[in-house]
Amino acid sequence: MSSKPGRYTAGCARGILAAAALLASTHLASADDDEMTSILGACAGQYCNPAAGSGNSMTLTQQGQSNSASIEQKAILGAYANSANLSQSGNGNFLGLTQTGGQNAAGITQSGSNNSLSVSQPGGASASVTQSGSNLGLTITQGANSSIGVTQSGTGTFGAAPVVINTFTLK
Amino acid sequence: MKKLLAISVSALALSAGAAFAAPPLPPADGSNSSTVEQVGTTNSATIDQGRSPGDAYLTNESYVYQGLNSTGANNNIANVTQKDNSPNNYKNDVLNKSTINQDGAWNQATVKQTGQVNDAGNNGAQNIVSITQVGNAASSANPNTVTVTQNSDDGPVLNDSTTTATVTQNVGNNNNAIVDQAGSHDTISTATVTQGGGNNNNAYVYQSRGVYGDGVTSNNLGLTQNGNGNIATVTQGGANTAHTALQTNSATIEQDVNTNTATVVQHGAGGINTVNLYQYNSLNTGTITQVSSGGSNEGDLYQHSENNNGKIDQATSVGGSQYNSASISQSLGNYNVATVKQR
Repeated sequence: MSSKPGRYTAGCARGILAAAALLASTHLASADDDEMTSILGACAGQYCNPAAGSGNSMTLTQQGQSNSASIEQKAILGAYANSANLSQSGNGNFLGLTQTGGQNAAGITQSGSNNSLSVSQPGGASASVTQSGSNLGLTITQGANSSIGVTQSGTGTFGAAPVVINTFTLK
Repeated sequence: MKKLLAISVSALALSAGAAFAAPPLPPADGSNSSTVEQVGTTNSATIDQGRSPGDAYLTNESYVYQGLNSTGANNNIANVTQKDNSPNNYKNDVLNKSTINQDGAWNQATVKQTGQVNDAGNNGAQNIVSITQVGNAASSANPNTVTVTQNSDDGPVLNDSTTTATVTQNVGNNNNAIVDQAGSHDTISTATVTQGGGNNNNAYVYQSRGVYGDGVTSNNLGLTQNGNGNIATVTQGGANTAHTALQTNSATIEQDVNTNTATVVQHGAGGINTVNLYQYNSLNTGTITQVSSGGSNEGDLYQHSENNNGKIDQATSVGGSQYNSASISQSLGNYNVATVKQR
């Protein structure tokens, strides 16, 4: 078939053009912040007024070295409770957690060396943190009516406080 | 009764003495049926099936088989269009069913199915597509292309519909699968896409929410890609502006080996959005975005091995029993990054 290469090229081109045309249409796989905001702030249908609240929950498991995680849980209006269960094992890991609203709960475990953790809970919260290893770092900021339990096994970072806890009253 | 049925076949390289398929059974009243088998390479088939005036009901069935027993570069083309093209006040369902099997590489299969056209009846359409492209395991450049467009109906009249698409691209690289399932009304859409054994494959799935829907709209997807450098892009549900129709979405995606990318966006209302994304091995990127009006979001992401990037972003509307639930598991590897945002 001497005409094969041309046919291949044309067929391939048609396929690519079809794919490109469809991909370029309005069906893009995205949801930007504007849409998120409109969903969160302007809901008028029958499904916008259910009864009791529950909130956000998440679990994270990372095993290995040099892993990082960033978590932000914002309170759903009328459903203030956020919960996070986080686990990192290995060395050189970083974890950042922010929970807004009240009645937040976090359970965090890091095992290994050179791990660091930053937790911000400006509302009422409870957190339980367990770190084991060496060169550990922990910074926790909590609002009033909060509780924190920290257990570290190992040594801290030279010249720095291994644990910094800031508790303040919201004004 | 012969209905609107046009088949154009060009068989430029039919093998001498090849056996043709037995002719299809005579169609029942109100039905169209076609069977095309093409042996060899560089064949094309175009099938157009629709309703004739006066048909009380409509069934379109099409079967195309190209490149029998050939694993080379077949370069076959199949185009199938099935529709209810008569916008009269019929009150019977429409069934569109299309099956395409293509052997070898460099094949194209395109199916477009359209259900009721602004019909005053209260029944909807049933669209079914099944496409299998075998591929060529020995070819490094092995693109097969599938394009499926299924519109359950077209207009503001209530028609509840079901839509099903099954796409299988067995082996080979650089395959493209595009599935676009849309409905104006309450539609249950199901898509199953398998790209089973090659690299740099692309799967694009769009399952919309009925613009006029006032009942349950449900989108369901199962997508599997096996190989390196595959891309899966999935959108389920439309922008939620009315908040009055129940919209549930469900997607399960599996990608094996390295350097795969999966992006899933779900827009729901009142029900539960669910994503289960599994990426095995390294250098994979998984992004899950879920938005619901008065409904809940559940996102689970599992990434195995190293240098993976996982992100889950969830939002639900004000107050109630709805919830966001996210889980990321990055096990047995280093240099992984996880980001979760819930609001």
